[in-house]
Amino acid sequence: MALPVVSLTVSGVGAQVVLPDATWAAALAPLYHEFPLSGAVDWHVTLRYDPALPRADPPWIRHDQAITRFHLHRIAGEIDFAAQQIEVTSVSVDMAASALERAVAYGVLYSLLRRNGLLLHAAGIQWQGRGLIVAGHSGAGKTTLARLAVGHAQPFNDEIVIADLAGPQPLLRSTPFLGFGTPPELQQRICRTCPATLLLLPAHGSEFALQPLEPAQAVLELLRSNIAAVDRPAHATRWLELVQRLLQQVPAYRLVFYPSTAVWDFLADTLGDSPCAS
Amino acid sequence: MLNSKQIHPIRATSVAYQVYGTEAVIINPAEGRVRMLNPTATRIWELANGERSVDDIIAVLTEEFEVTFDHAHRSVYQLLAELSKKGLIVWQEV
Repeated sequence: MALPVVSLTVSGVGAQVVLPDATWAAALAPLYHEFPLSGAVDWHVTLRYDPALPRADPPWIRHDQAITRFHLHRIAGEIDFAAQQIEVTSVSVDMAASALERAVAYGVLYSLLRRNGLLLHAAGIQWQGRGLIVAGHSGAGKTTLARLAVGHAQPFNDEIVIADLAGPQPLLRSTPFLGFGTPPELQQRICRTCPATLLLLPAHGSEFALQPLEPAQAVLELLRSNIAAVDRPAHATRWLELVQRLLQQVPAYRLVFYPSTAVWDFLADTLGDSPCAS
Repeated sequence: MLNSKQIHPIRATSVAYQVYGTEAVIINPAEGRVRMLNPTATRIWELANGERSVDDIIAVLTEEFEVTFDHAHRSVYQLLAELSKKGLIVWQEV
């Protein structure tokens, strides 16, 4: 009997995931209904069940030719870039979405590099017609800002978004990939797209401030939380080219803020009516 | 013994880089390290393409940055030694 599958497309990259049994399909399929398969399958993924998989301490990622292996917490996997195949193991059906999303995100990341797209460890927020890419290391304030957006703007995600650079205007696209620490109010897998107009690198502070960043500084900040994207020279070269293209069209700012929804008034006052500060 | 006209520095193919304005960001995936060079170092990095000798690079720097030969000589050798030690450039004999 054929094993059940769940399929999804994220920013034009298709993945078909073979699951251990129907219980897993029932749990996973509804999560991705806004990301139906709409074209070719780029990645063939097999999700395995192993309740005895130990916790990785510390987590690791290793690269060997065209194969990348990883063990993050209680998720382990192997990505074969040549064959476009992924195997990932979860300890339970409850952890299945996390396992699947870690693995598929890697696949989407590398496919997009060839299609003028950047999968970024960043929050995405649609606010007053602007698409805000909020990038930064863990603890910088991505999730805090995304939470402050609830009721004031449309948060896409607090963990992984896509900057689509294929057209004349950069687009911000949501993904269904949640983080381990994504809070309940942001646990949504919605498919949204809007123009990408600002790159914000948040930092916690005791006042609000918006400071322009030089492109090289913005790249360094982006790399702090996206180092997995540049694991091979060819990937790194392409990633740097695409980030340069992004920064030529989207200004980057350091946003110093404290956790108050007044940050939206501050941004509105500071940015004015222009779709992006310049 | 080789002199500075016979050795040409060249950027290692194992690293990726991009110049943003006047500053280069260099990634060495093998060691998971990222570096940013200042404008002078970035220019030296760009010139180290395997086609120029160390003397050629010093000559370009002397002209573009309006510094003395001694100053450019020191800067170029110091930077190239550092980059070479980190495996970011290699030397090729001509």
